[in-house]
Amino acid sequence: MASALKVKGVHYSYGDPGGVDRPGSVTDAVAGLDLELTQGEFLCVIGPNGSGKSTLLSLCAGLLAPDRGEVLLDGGAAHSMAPKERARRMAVVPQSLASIPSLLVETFVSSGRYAYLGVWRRPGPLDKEAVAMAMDEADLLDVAERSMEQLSGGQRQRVLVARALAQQSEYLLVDEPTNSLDLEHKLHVFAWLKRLACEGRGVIVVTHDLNLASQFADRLMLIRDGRMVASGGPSEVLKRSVLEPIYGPNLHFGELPTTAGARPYVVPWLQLGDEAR
Amino acid sequence: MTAKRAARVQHVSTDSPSDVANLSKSALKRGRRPRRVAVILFLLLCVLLVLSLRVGSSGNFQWSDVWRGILAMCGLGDPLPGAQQTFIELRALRALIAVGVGACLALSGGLLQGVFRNSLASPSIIGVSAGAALGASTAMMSMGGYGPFSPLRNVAAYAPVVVTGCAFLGGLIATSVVTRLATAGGRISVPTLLLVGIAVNAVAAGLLAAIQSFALRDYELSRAIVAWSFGTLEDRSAQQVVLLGIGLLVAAATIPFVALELDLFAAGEDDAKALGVHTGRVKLLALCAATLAAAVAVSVAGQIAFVGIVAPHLLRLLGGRSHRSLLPLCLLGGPVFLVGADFLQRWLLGDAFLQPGVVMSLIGGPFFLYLLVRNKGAMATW
Amino acid sequence: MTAAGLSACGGEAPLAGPPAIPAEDIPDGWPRNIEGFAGELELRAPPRRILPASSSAVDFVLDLIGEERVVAIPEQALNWANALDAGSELRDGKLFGSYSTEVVLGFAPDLVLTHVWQSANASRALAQAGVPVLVLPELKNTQDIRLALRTLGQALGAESNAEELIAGFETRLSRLASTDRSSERILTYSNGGTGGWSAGKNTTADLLIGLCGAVNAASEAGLDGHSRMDFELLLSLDPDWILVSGGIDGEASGSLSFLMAQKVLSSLSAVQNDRIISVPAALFSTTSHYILDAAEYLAGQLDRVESVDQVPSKDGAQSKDHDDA
Repeated sequence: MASALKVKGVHYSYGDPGGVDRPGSVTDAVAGLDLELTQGEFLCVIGPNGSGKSTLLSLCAGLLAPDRGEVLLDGGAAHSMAPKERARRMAVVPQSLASIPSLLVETFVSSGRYAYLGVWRRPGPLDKEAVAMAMDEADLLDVAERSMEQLSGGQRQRVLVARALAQQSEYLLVDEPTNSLDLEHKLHVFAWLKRLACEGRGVIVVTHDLNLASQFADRLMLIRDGRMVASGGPSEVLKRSVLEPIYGPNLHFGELPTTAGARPYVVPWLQLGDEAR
Repeated sequence: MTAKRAARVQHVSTDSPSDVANLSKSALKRGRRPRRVAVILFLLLCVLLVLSLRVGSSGNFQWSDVWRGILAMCGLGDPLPGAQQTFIELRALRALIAVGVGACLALSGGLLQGVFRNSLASPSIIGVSAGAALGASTAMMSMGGYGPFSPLRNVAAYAPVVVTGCAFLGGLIATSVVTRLATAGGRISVPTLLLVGIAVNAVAAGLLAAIQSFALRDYELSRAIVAWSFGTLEDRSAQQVVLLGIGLLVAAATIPFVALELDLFAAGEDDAKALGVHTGRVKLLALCAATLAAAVAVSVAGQIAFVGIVAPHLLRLLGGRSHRSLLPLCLLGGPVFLVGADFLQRWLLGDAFLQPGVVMSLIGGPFFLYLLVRNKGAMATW
Repeated sequence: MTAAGLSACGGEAPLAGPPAIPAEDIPDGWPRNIEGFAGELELRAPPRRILPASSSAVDFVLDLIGEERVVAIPEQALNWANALDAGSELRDGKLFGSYSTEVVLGFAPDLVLTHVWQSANASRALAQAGVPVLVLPELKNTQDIRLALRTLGQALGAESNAEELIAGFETRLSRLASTDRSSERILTYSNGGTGGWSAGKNTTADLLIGLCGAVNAASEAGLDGHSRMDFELLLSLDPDWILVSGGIDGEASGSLSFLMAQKVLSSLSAVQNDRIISVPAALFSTTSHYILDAAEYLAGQLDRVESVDQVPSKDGAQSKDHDDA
């Protein structure tokens, strides 16, 4: 009954693969990744810059067609699904927009309902309700009348999530949601995403933030150069043997207790005393 | 977290209904603005149309005669004496052509600006008009002339349709060349777009000039082709009005299917795709509609520059930025622009008979410069 | 300067400029100064390599001195010159496509005849290269025609031929004037499908109508030069006759078929009475003394219809006759 998003041995490279001028030298942004996500699960994809996290997300969302391998949503290839059908099942929260449209916040959130609109593109009562709920959920009712250009970074992030919520999809694919946010807002966004997962959505979040990922995710997936390095619960991924080859030796590990058991954390730490000596 | 959720729920139950009510009320207010602009434009267009019936090359008419002429055209009352009724009808035909051409060019510009996500795109700048003119000229050349000049009488009857068809093909080729060359990695680069537009315009103009010099042997044919480069609204036939109307209708029929989608394009094509927009289909539909509209306009009245860029831009300032209001407004704003320019030049310059393209260039050129200066900041980041 | 340099290097066949003429070959009366239409011109000896650069210049030269001393004619003269016989050797001789300095210099002419509407840059460059260039005017009145013939007669050393032509011209003029056609209002019209044109005051077509003693309806309405003529203006002027150019190579006139195809123009009295005259293209567009032939042709058409005015059905046949001719 529960649906599943499955990624099997996916390869993807920008530019022409195996071009004549540099045969074999085109590096794949994603080189043979596997992934499986069910509804209600919160998966964080972590990795250094340029590791292929965002490309993986676009592949999952069906926005890119894999060169090899496949992305399956309940057995159907994601990128060849009808766009509207796909959008009703998977919502993407982009890291940022190519340009900030000069629309009112409410209008922008309403665009999440596009996949549900009929031939004449007229929103029905269901659409209006979904938008109102999403706006309320994202605490945006006070700024509904404002233009997108007038929003703060935190508000803009909430608007992007609200739009995805209006899509009422089974899966939520989130790209770097906390990049420009302060600590409080970071925490708020992750807590919110976690709650959305608890409510029965499958959530993938691509992030740099190892500790937030450790605190909230059911599962972590660490990738580098388009390949998977480690995958599993937070304590299986956030450990020295896994992270040191990637982030270097200057790391400090610790543990904090939560209701769901102890969660590891890691901070970059350079012993100044060591340097001096 | 449960407490927070509870607070949230309470928040919903107390404030939300009024908030939602306010929301839809103000949305209603916003929705009225384009409608108000539309009403104003419509009234303005009506006034301009009546004014253009009054002024013509044989002199100005009395107001009473204009009304009588209009009523007679509608089948009410007696026609004006002598040739005067004919004059009124000729002026009406000219005005109708200006309405159709203005609407086509503005719609084409609005669509192109949406697809390319850039307010500098327009049929004449990215080469669609030039391509269409080239197609039309080629058709005219191969048929030995426009309309009744055709040596093959049975083809002559279809000449306007053939010329329009070839204009559409020419425009489509230009559009696809521009789109193909300016696209890199799924994105259209603005400098490349403008450069490719310049190149396509240059090539089309060169080929047009070549056709002209072949046509030089036939003085009248060559003059007909030359007139294409600045456009003309003179002495069009009722058949051309019908053709223009059909083209405009088909192009305008795509508005409900691309307007919202073009709004979603504004935040990036990938984003629109993720929301469920069939981006490829929308782009194709919008580009075809834009090309068709530009092509019928060019095949009926030649190349009239700047309506396609200036009209949508002004309308965007007046009636909001959503394509759902912009594109329908183009159907009113374009005509106001072209009929107005045509009327002004005949009223102010009398018998000077400036071609509409010249007038539009005189108004549109400086406006385009103003646009460039105003957007200097944005352009620095191209 | 250039010409001197080139002829010094070129030896017997100079690439440019007139060939040097030995002093003993220069006849009496030369060198002479010609008062041209664009400044004075000095000719050292009777020109022997003449290059008429326009169809009308070809008309003038052939009628004044024949074709022996003509080195080349423009291609368009094959269709547009009136004096060029069907069997003329010039037709198979040297033709050139465009009036440009390099092309003209290649024929080493010692006199170039051109019209005001032709490239002034080429004329200037030729004059700098030492080639005498005589610029002919657009004809606006009968005096222009006499003056053109007289000046050309001087330049070509054919004064007596010129006077003879002028004398014949005067006879024909008075013959044309002997019939009163001042009640006929004529309008020239051309339309290539993108707007109509008509010739008003100060045009050669105005002169053509004037030579017949008829009235140019466009000039009468105050139009000057070549003016736009939309349907409305055409209908409001409603001339007795409409004058259109015939096609070249015996093709039908484009403007004629355009006029006949417009339903809205069917109320024009010229259309209803079949009074549309298609003048052969070469005559209609001439700016040489052949304008008189054009006027005689036009007068002939006017008079023929006048004389059989009682039989309107014949009118149509007549105005279509010359299309096929």
